[in-house]
Amino acid sequence: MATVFNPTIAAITLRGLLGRRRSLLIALPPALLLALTIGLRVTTDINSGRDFGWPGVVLGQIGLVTLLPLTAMIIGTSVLGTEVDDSSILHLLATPVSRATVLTTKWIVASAATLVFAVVPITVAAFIGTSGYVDNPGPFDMTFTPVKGDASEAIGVIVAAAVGAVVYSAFFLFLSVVTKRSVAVTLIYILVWESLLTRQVSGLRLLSIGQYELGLADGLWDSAAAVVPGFGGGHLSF
Amino acid sequence: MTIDDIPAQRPTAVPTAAPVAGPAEVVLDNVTHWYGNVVAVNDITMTIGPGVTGLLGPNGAGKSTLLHLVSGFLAPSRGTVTVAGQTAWHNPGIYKVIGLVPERDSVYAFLTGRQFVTATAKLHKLPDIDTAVARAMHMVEMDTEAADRRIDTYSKGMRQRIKVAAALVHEPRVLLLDEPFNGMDPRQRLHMMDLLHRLGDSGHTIVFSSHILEEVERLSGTVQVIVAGRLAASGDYRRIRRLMTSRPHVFQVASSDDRTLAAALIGRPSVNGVELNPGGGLEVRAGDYGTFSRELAAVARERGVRLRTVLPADESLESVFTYLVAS
Repeated sequence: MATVFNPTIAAITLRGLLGRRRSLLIALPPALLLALTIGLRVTTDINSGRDFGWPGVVLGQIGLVTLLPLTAMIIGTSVLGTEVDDSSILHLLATPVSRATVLTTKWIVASAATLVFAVVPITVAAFIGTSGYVDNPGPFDMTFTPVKGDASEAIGVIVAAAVGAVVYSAFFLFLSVVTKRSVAVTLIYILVWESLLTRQVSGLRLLSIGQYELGLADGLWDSAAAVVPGFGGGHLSF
Repeated sequence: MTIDDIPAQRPTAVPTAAPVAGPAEVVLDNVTHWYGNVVAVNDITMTIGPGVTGLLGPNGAGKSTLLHLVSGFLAPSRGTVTVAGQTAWHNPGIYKVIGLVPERDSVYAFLTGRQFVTATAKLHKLPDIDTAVARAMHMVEMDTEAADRRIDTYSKGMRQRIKVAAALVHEPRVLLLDEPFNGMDPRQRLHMMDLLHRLGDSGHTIVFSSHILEEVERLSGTVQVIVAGRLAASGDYRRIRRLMTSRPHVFQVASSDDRTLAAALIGRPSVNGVELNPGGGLEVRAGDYGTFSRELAAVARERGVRLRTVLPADESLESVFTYLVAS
C-alpha cells in the first residue's frame, strides 16, 4: 500500500505555494473578511434591533460562499497545476514515490493551507461577529441567533468550512490533474455553477459542494438549537 | 527533517562515475505511440546497451516521446518497453534504475541547487544522503558556492547541470537525457560530454536525444536516427555519417562565366546535373558531396573561371534525414 504522506514533497509544495507572490494573493481575501467583520462590529450595535443581521451575510455569503472556494481554488490549482504546467513535476515523478502518494500529499497540503487561509479567518470572523450577540433574527431572517457571550454558536460555520476546505481542495486538485486550464474551469465552477446555476435550478444543488457546505452549517446550527436552551435555530444567508 | 536541514559541509573525497552493479538494457519491441490521431512513435524496435547512445532526429521526430516511453511517463499504444528487464509503464520502482534529465529547464527555482538534489535523494530514500548529494554535485562541477544559491539565480547551463546531478544522485544504471546540451556554453558542453563518456565507459547505459549532428558525432559511437516517428537508421555513427556526406547535394554556384563552368562540371562523374538559372548562376546537383567539394575549385581554376558564391541549397537537417529514410 502506498504511503499517504511524503514530508519531502509536502515541504517542496509548501515552499512553492508560500514562497511566491501567490501567498499575498492567498492572504488578501481573508484579510478583507477580517477587516470587514471588525469594521461592522465597531460601527454597528448588533443588539440594537436595527442591524440587518450582518454576521449571517458576512460569514455565509462572503465567508463560506466566496472566500472559501476562491482560496481553495488558488491553493488547489497551485499545488499541482503550476508544476504540471512547467513540467517540474517530472522531477517528483521520476522517483520511486508512487503517484498516489504525490497526489495525496498535495491534497493534504492544499487542505491544510486552505484551513489556515480560509477556515481560520472565517472562525475568527465568526467569533468577532457573534460573541455578545443576543437573540435577534433581524428583519430579513438571515441572521444567526446565538447565545449571548458564547462563541460556540459559530460551530456550524466552522465545521462546514473545515469540511468544505477538504472537499474543495480535493475537487480543485482533481481538476488540475484532468485539465490544463484548471484556473478557468474552477472559476467557471465557482462563479457560474455554484453562484448562478445552483441558485436558479434547485435540482443542481445536489451537485454543488457549496450547497452541501451550507446545508451542513445549517444542520449543525439547527441541531445545536435543539439541545441548547435559548439557541435560536436561524439559518445562513444565501 | 526538512529540505533546509542539509549540512553545509561536504565530504572531502568524492568518487565519480563508479562502476555499475550490472549492465542494464533498454529494450523497445514494436513500440507505437499515438497522440489522438497522430502517430508520434511508429513501430520502433531497438535494444540499447551500456555505453553512450544518441537519439538523433529533427524537432518533432518523436525523440522526446521515445524517452518518455522509456522513462515510464507514457504507455505504449502498442508494443512493450522494458528497462533492465522491468516494464517501464506503471512501475515507480523502475526509477531506482533510471535517472531522467527532462528537456525543459524548469526546476524548483525557489530551492538552492543543493536543496534540490537533497530532496531528490530523500525521495529515493538513499541511506547516506549527504555523501550521495556531495558526489552528484561534484560530478557535474556544482560543488561550488553556487550550490547554496537559489536555482532562479542560475544560468541555463547551471540549471542543466543541477538537473543532471539530481538524476545521478541515486547512481542509476540508465541515464536518459532529453536535449541535455541546450543552453550550455562550449566549456560546459565539453565537460558534460566528458562526464557522459565516463559514465558510459563505466558500464552505464546513457541515452540522450539531440537534433544537432555534431553533438552526437562527438559523444556517441552508437546512433539511433528517428525521423517522423520511425527508426530511420541505427548503428555506428561513422557509417551513418558516411551516408550523410555521400548523399546527393544541391549547390547554388555563381561565377564569372557560368556557361563555361557548367560545361566543365557536367563532364565530371561527381556531378549528376547542372542547370543555368534564368537570373544568373548555376544549380549543380552533386552525387558525392566530398568529391564535388574538392573538384569544384580545381575545375574553375583550370577553366580560368572565378567562383563568386558556392551555397549548399538543401543542408537542412530534414533533408538529411529524409535521405537517410530513403536509404
